[in-house]
Amino acid sequence: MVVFAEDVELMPLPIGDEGVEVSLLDLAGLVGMESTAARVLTPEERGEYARLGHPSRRREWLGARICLKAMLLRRGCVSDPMQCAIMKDARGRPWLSFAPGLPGKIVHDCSLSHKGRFACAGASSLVDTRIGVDVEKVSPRLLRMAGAFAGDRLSLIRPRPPEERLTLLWAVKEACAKAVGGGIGMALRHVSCEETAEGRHQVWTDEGLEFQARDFLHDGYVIAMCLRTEEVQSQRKGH
Amino acid sequence: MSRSLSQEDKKEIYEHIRQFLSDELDVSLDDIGPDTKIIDDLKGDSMIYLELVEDFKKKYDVKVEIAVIGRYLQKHPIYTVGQTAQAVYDIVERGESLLMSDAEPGAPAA
Repeated sequence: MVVFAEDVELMPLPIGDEGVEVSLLDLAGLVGMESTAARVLTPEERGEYARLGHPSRRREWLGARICLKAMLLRRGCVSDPMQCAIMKDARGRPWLSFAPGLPGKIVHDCSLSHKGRFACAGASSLVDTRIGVDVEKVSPRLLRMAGAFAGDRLSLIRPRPPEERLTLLWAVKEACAKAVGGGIGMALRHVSCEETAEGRHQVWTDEGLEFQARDFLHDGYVIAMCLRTEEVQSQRKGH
Repeated sequence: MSRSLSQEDKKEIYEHIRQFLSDELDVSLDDIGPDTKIIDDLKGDSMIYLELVEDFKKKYDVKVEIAVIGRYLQKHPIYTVGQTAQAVYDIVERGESLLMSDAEPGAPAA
């Protein structure tokens, strides 16, 4: 058995739910990248990793996969990170391909994100549920583009500083886009986001999609998780 | 209101995108070509697309709502610098009629 998860400091976030788990990985603790990649990535994943040119991008890409695989190990879905490959469907959404005959628990859907210091992963064992996660650094960057959010509505229980408010809105939009595989185009659509309890949001898009969302603030970063229940279409054909 | 961009205008837009990415992402201009992937090769993020779109909306006084551009980009996903330039040409040229010639979604979303 490959002991892999114990040397990774995962931070489980309190934005999961029954059957839904979200964790964060501090990339500062990621050392020995190439040897870790060799231990963690399947040959197919290593091919994708090798095609990434930018060193920071490689680090974030690997960190997000380590985060998800460590979660799967701790949930008992796999006993070796090589028993599962993180693939991408036609919309660019990640999905898990498990080695045959695994007795572990099932994960129906997953999502990955990374920004700066952190990588983040979400996993859901709920049937017909899509999960999207996003991590964003709170910064003045979005303040310059406040006009782009004029069509959005964000209703919060307690006031938050403008930078945090816009970062939260962007992270929620990104997480919703990841849940359905809508890419940047969907993240630019308008949403209405209503905080129904501290850190819990109901989200509607201008195209009529509805999501349950959660958010968490950690060390100057906002982490958002969106869930959408729907008839799961077979988008994975051909993979 | 739609407008027509000359080859010179398009060249200027393309170069502006390269310069923008070079400045924002601290990458040499020499490393940015039409096939360069903004996220994978330059370590851009999704926010950089929003910044680019807002920049061009101001520069060319384009009145298209950001959500309309979002709908357009769902049909025409952009990953590379060349695809981004093409999207900007379309946004500037077609303006509010951006979606009118997109009868049915032909391309998969990103």
